[in-house]
Order: sequence, then C-alpha cells, then structure tokens
Amino acid sequence: MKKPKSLFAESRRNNRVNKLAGEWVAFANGKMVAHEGTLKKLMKKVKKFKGNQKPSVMLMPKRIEGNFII
Amino acid sequence: MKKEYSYFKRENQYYPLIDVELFGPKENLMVKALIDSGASCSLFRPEIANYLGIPVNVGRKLYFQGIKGKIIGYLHQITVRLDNKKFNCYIAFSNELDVSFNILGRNNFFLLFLITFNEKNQRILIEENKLDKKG
Repeated sequence: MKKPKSLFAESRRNNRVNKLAGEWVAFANGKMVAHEGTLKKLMKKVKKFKGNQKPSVMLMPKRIEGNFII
Repeated sequence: MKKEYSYFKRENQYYPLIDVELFGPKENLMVKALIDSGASCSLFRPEIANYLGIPVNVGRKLYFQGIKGKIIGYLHQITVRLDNKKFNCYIAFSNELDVSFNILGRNNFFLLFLITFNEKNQRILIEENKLDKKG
C-alpha cells in the first residue's frame, strides 16, 4: 500500500534529523543552514551565512538519549 | 516584551526550545535552549563556554543531581538576550553533561519572565515579569 504523501515527507525529514544526531546544527527562520561535528567548525560556516536572522545553534541529541526527563 | 514561540520538533517529539543570545568575553552566540521548569538552575554545554571564551572551571562549583546521578557544574553570570530584553543570568556549564540540550532552569530565568506552556498547541508564551514589590 502506498504511504500517504505527508507521512512520507515526515519520515524523510526524520531520517535527515537522525543523521544529524550528535552534530552541531545551525537554524535560521526555522530551517537548517549548516551542520558540523564541532561548534567551532560550525561557527566558521555560520559566520559566512547571509540572512536576515542570526542563526541559532544546538547539539542535536543522539537517538540513545530518547525521551527527556531532566 | 511578550512573544510566542513554537516548540521544536525532533522525530515525533516536541520540545520547548527558544533562542537566546549569550555574550561572552570573546564571542557572542545564539543558542537554542530547553525551558525546563523542573531544573532549579540553568545548565549549558561546555562547548558553548569555550566558544564564548569563558573558562568553565573558574566559576562557582556546584553539584547537580539528576535521575542518573550527580554531576559537577560551574556557575557563571552571563549577559543573555531574549528577543529585545538583555539581562544577567546565572548559567552553569558542566563537562560531565551528557544531555545534548542546553537547559534554562528556574534560577534566575524564571524570575524575569512569566512562562506559559501551551502543550496542546505546542507553543510557549514568554512575557516579561513585572517584579512585584512585597509589603
């Protein structure tokens, strides 16, 4: 049976996010603009970014981190 | 200041992450941080302190108790900007933190803002807290 389009897109997006687990990622206007293995390397890329919003960075959680109860 | 933020979606989970800018002696950095009403203090990744030019171990040594156990963190006072509001915030950094998210805890972030979690719509409303004068 064919998967509904929205679910397919969702699953593709999840796969992309999973691949970035453990990497430093920069977002601007809700979209990913760069990713790197270290924050230092990421910021070299981010400084070259020309956009109207300053990118914000985070370390993408690894899958083993699971759900958060902090 | 009053602003609404959407939760951040990762896999099938939604997290109340917001963007805050941190001002360090060497660099400034815009980071995503998880608003955590269960955390008594803010705790951030050590890589962020290094990037800002803050020596982690120079701060006040504190022990943080989590579900998994105890970790050591070092408390610093840092200038933070949320939207157009700049303020001083106590943030601890820990080399032992094994959680990827930066955590914005109650002391002192929650004193400055009134925070409403709209879990149903996955949105968070933050407004400046007008400090009451008691007595």
